[in-house]
Amino acid sequence: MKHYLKLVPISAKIHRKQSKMTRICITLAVLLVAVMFGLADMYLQGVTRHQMEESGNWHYEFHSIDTQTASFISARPDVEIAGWHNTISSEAGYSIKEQAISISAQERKVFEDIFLNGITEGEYPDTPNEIAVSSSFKNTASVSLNETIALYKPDGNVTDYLIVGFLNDTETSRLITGDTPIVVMTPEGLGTLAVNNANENYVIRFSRLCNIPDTINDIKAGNNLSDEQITGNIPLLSIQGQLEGKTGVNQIYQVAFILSVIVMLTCILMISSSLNSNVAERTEFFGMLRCLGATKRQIMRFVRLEGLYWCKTAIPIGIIFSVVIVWILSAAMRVINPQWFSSMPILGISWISVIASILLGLLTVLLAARSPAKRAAKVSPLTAVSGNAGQTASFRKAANTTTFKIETALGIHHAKAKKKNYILMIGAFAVCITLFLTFSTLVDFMKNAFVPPVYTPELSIASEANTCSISNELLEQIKQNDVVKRAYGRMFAYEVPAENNGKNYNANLISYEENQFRWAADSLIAGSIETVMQQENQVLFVQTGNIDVQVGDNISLTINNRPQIVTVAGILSDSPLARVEGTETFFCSEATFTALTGETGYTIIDIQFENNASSEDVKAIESIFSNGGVIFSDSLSQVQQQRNLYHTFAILVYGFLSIIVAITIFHIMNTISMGAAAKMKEYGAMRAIGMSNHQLVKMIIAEAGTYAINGVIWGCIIGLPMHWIIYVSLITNIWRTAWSVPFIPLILIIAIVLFASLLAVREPAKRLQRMSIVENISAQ
Amino acid sequence: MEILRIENLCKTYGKGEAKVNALKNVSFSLEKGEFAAVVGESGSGKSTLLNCIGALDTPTSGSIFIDGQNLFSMKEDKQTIFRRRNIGFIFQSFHLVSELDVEQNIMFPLLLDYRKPDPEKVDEILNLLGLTERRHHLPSQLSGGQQQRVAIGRALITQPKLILADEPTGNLDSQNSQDVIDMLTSASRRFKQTILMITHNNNLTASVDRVFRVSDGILADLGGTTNETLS
Repeated sequence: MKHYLKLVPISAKIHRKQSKMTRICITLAVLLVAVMFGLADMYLQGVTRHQMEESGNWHYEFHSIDTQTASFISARPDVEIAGWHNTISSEAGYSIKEQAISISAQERKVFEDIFLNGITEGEYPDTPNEIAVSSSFKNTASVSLNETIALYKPDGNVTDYLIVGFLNDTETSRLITGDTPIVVMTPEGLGTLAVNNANENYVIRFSRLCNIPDTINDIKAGNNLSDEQITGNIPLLSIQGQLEGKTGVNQIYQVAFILSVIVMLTCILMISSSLNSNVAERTEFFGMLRCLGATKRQIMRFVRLEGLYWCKTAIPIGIIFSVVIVWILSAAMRVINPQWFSSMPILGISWISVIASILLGLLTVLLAARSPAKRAAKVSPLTAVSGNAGQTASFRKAANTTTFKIETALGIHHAKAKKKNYILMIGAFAVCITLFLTFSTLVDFMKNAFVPPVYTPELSIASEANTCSISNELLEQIKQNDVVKRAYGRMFAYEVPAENNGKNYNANLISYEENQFRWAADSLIAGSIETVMQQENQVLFVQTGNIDVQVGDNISLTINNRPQIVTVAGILSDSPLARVEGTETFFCSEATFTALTGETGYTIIDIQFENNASSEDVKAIESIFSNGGVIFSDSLSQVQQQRNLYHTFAILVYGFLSIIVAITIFHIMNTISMGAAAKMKEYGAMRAIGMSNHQLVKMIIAEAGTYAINGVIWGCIIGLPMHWIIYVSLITNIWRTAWSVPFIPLILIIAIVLFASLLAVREPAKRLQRMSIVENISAQ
Repeated sequence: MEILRIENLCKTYGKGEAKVNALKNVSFSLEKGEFAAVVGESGSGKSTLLNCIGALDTPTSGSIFIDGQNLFSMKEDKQTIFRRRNIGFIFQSFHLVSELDVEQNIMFPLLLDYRKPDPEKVDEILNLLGLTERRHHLPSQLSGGQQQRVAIGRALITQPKLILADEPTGNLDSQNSQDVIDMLTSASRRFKQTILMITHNNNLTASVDRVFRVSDGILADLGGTTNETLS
């Protein structure tokens, strides 16, 4: 041993068991940070790939510049690839074998490396008289490799070209838009056509480490280029963080950073408390070091280095687990929502997350080690010689043994005795409950934002003439289909003259069936829906503020020139159907509608499908209406996409909520376990005097219960108003949904917290029970 | 009346070459009201003997009878209850419950047994120990000698059949040590209390009724008249 700090690995080896909690805390901190950054990175990698597939891997395009300016730009060291990209659209009138074509002329490197295109057969044109054409053109125009074909110009002139290759059709949209076949040639080849209306662009891609906003400003200033002459691939630049101001990458990493800071703060608390208890267990050791001549600074350095030493194994383990978790989450997101996340890498490794987690992990440990290091440095050398290290801290007040049984009184007193620790513990519980309740509003927000309302149809079939012309036999036929979850119709009588209390107006009379009545219950503000469903000539009125209608009012409706009286049985605040200003709305049962109008057919049929429905199923339903007379409105894919988006975000939000819960559970278990470990000697003495194992467990439960119950109370006191504030600003202000006590999340988090506290007692209780009383008394 | 009887008590630690015989066929008995001391060198087996008698440790073989009941034929729960009702402990480092005051610490074994302490009895003990003024003080507010007196009070409150004292003066100065011994002697006389005390200070055996010496795990009864020899 050449240096006193070499004692760190030796001591770490001996105290491996005691440092287990600290190592788990560090691993957890690194894991969470790495997962958050990893997911953000995977998402950005996926979006970048998706964006490149959409428009190509270029950064800026210059228009109307001369060749000299182009050569100045390409000569810059920060330009990785540059080249001309000249295009002629199909509307320009160029054709081959009487088929209109578009032309894209560029060098091979621009074709392959910037627009990410490929030749499927043959090779890329090398000389001015060579071209490559779309693979589809090979069949439609019956052309083959090495065939010379005539390219007709709009003025009727012809130029012959040799076909040397065929393009991959799926990638050509990056070169030029449109469905027509594409001819690809070299810029020199386009020159032989002597085109004067070609769209000439000079595209560039900058090197990876280039500061693009500064460089582009420099290019603009150095070459006198106007803003109109420059077009950026903004979505790609935004994802790569190469735009001035707010970019996509900045926002995503900002979120990851904020979440990491929250996690870090929690982990600092956890690591600090576990290091503190570790230090407390070795007071005599530090006293001995001080006795032998170690300065306070040396002791502090020793404790900090110990923390860093544990990082040696804890950080790699955290990173390995994080990589696996990111792989699993990426795969889950690809499966759940292929439309949005199909480009996420499958087995990608995020170096950003690895570096961020190592740095943040080390920072967390150094910050967490500050207070234990100070505590260790404060140990007096006298501690080692006097043998008083085992003395427990002094208390200010005695436990209340008159109200509670002795073990309960001691448990409660243990919890409350050290004010700082007590506040930290109930604070941890309260913060957990508050965070859970606050973040749970995101779930409601997502439901409102992404999930279509329950009444949203995925396919609507409306009468072309807006009459009750759709036979209800067709509705029955639709219901027979297995993928149809719900199918229901509405009958409409438009602009029906109505009168009540001497006031005349027009109204739409619409029939509902049981599903629609059920969904309308949420907007019922007076009366009863049941009455409308079960009794004839009863209607629901949709409140508009134009006329005053009360439950029990009789309304006279003139249908088929015959006045008929209906009674208002309920009033709705709103309806999902569009309404015309000045026209009121009445809903009635199908039986009432038929009785009033004599109609039995539907004006519109709405269909909701099972989850596995596809566009083929929609077509199958549409085929039932082969006689026409109806208009289809298909929104299946849109609704499915919205639902998938909701599920994906729900996984992320619930994932984050689980992390909060996991950290809290771990913190609770850790603190209770360490608290019990610190009182080992005291427990031993109590057992010797006659405390039974059962009483010992009850005492630890009382301690944990005191933290949990008070934490739950404070969690509710802080969490519920927080929930109200966030809910009102996020949801009530936008969708007008009133706030109510979030019983389900509240009960869930309280149950989790109480269960975790109970679980936390298990391990220390078992450990104590396993120890003999003699071991217990002499425990260090 | 016999309170404690030990028959062929053996305690072995380790196996093979590391095997240590801490106690070898120890047998003796104590009568009610007897105050006995066990002396011996450090590592001779004194504490092992006391731990076994107090059911804090399990002997390898042999039997311990307290008031006629075989201590190790009981199940763990019953043994715990038996211990708290019939055996009082006094430790070298006091082991008071730091969050209970003097009075509560003394009543602690009764509270563990869910029994209501008799206030007169508590007052009597506090008075005997000279702690009446300090009844509501916490252990951290007491000197070492006072803490040990509280520990003695805690051992006396249940009027156990046997009090086991493990180096009760080990952490005290000579004056406090003598006070503690005097207190134990007076308790033994006043309450007819059987006490077994471990000490390595031969001077403290002057006022005890019987002295045992443990050497290499073997117990020798030095009787009650060999005090002069020891000192």
